[in-house]
Amino acid sequence: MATRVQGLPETAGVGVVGVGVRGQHSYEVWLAPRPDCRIVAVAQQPDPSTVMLEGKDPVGCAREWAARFGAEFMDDWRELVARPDVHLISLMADPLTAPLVTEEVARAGKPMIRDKYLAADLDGARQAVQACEAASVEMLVTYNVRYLPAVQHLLAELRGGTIGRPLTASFVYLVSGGPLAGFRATAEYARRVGGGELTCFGVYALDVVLEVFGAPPERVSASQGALFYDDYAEAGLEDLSQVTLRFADGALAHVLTGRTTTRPHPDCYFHLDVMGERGTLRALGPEPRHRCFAGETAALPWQGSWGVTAMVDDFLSCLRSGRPSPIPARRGYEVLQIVKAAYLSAREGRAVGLAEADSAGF
Amino acid sequence: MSAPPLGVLVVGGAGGVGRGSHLPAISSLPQVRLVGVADVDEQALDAVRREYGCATYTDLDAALTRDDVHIVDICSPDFAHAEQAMAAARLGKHVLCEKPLALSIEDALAMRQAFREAGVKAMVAQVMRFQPRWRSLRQAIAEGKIGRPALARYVLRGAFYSYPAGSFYRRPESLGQIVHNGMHYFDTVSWLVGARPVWVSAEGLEHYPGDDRLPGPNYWTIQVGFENGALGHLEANLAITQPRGCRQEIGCLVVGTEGTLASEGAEAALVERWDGGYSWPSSWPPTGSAEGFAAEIAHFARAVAEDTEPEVSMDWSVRILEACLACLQSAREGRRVELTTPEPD
Repeated sequence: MATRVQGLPETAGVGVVGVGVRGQHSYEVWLAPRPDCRIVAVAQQPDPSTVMLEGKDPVGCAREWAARFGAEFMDDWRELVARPDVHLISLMADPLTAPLVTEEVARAGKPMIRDKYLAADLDGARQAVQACEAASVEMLVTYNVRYLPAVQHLLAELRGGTIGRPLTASFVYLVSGGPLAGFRATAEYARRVGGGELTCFGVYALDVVLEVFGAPPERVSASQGALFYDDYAEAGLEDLSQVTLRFADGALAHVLTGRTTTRPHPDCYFHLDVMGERGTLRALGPEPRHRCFAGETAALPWQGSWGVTAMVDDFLSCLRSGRPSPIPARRGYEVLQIVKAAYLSAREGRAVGLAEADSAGF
Repeated sequence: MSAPPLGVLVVGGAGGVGRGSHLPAISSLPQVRLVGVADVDEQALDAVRREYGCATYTDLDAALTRDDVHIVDICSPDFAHAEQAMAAARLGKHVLCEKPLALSIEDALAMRQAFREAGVKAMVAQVMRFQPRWRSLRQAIAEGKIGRPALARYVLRGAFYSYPAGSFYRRPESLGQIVHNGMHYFDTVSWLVGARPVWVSAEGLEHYPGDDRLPGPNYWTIQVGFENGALGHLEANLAITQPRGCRQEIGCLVVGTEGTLASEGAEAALVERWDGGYSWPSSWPPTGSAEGFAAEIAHFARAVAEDTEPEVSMDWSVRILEACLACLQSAREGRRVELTTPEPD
C-alpha cells in the first residue's frame, strides 16, 4: 500500500524519469534554480524511442541531462522512483509510456509533475488518474497557459462576478515559426503521442476554457487539417484544429489552435474573449498587446516563462501546505477526453458527446 | 464622348438601407442616374422625392416598365427579393440585389435561372468587399504576401440590431440574423480565402436579457470548410448587450503558409502583416458610409455598360446563401452540413 509523502522537506529532491531532446517541457529546468529543490537523479524512461529522440542514443541523452544538473544518472528508473532522497518526480516520459511510470510513482506515494500529455490514449489517462487518486498522490499536469498574468486576471474577474455567468468563450491560440529545428512528424511520433497539435498545443487552450466554464462540455464539434506541414499530413497528424464546445447550460466555446505559418513574427497569436451575462473580458498577447480588460484595460506583463514559474510555485506551495494540486491528473483526463472527442467529431463530421470518445477506442 | 448615365430604379429605396446607403451612393456617381424609387411607404417616399427630386412609385410594375430604367437596385425586405428581382429580369432589367439573395435555396436557384434566361447582369450587393479595408487585405493575399491562405477567421462583436416593432426581422420567417447578415460574413471570408465554402458546422446561442429580442440566436460560432482545403471560423456575436451601446467591432485573421494578416478593432484602422514585414493603415469608412456602396454600384454599372461579368457571380452567391441557410440546419441537427448547390449546366 502506498504511503503518501506528506509535504516536502525544506529542500525537495527531484528525480527525473524520461529525457528527450528538447528540454523545453522538462520541468526540472524550472525546478533546478529554485533554492527549495535539488535535482538528485535522472533516468531514461522505459522503452525509449529513438524516433522520439530524433536518432540520439537514449542512455547518452539521459547521462548528459544528469550531468547538466550535477545529478546522478541511474540505469533503472524504478530504483530512482524508490530512492528515499527523491521526493518529487519530474515525469517526462512520452505519453504512451507515461501511465506505466505514473503508476509506479503513485505506488511510491510521491507527487509528480507531468508534461501536458497525461497519456497517449484515454485508457492510459484513466490508468494514470486511478493510480493517483487511489494513492492520494498529487500530480501537476502542466497546463501553464492558465498562469499567464492576463489569463489569471481574466479568471479572477470572472470568478469575482464582474461579467456574470460566462456565456461564450472564443480562444484563438496559434503558434507560428514552424516546429523546432530537427523535428519531423512521423507515424511513430503519432503512436507515442496520440495526436498532432491539438494534443500537443491546443490542450493549453482547452484547459483554460474548462477553467472559464467550470465543467466539462456536453458535446464537441471539430474540424482539422494538415494545412501547413507536409510531414504532419504524411503522418496523419493535424497541424490546425478548431473545436466548438457546447456546455450543459447552453454556453458555447470555440478554440482555434495549431501550428501554422513558418514565419515567426509574432511567435504566437493569442486572443481570448469571454462574454458573460453582463460584459466581456478579453486577454490578448503576447507583446505588444498584452492586456486584459473588463471595463478598463490593465497592462500586464507577458511572462517569458509562459506562466511556468507561477505554476510550479503554486504546485510546490500546494504540496507544502497540504492543498490539492491545482491541475490534477483528472483535469488531464478531462482535457484529453475533449481532444479525443474532437478527433472523432472531425472524422465523422458531427457533434460528439464525451462518453462517445471513451467508447471509440481512442 | 462618354456614355449617358444608366438609369437606376431603387426598389424598397425609402427604407433604411436605401435612404441610408444606396441613394446617397447613386447620387454621388456620374455613371448612373437615379430615375425613381419604389416603396410601399408613401410617407417615406414623400421624403425621398423632396430630397432627391426623383419619381416615386408605390406601384412596382409601373416603375419597372420605364424604358429609362436599366438597373434595378433591390433594397426591399428580404422576403421580397426573389419576386422583385425576377420581375425585373423578365423585363430585361439588370439587377443589383441586397443580401440575402433570397430566403430559400429554391428561390435563389429560380432567380439564377431567371437572370440567365433574360440575359441580364445580376449581382448580390456584397458591399464589404468594395470597402478599402477588405480590398487591401484581399490585395495583399492576391500579391502572395502571406503565401497560400489556409485559415481565415471573421469576427463581429456588438449588440444585435434593434429593429422597430413590427419589423419583418422580428418575425421567425426572417430566419434570423445569420441569414439576414450572414452573407456578408461568408462572402468576405470566402473571398479572402479565394474559394467557395463546401461545408459548415454551426452552433448558436440566444442571449436577450430583456424583452427586446429577435428570432433565433444572436451568437453564432461557425466552422467552415472551403473547396481548396482551407478552414474558416465565423463568429457573429451580436449578444454583447451589457452595456447596451458598446461599440461594434469587426475583425479578421487570415493565416497563410508564409505569414499572417490580422485586422482588428473598430477604431484601430490598421492592417497588420506578421511575417517580419510591416503594418499599413487602411481607411475604414464608418458602417453605412456611402463609400463602399458607391464603389459597389459603380462596379456593377461598369459591368452593365461594358458587358463584363460582375465581381460577385450569381453562382457564388447561391453557394454563399446556402452556407447561411445550412447554419440553421447544422445547429438544429448537431452535424456538419455539406453544401451541394451545383454549378449551372
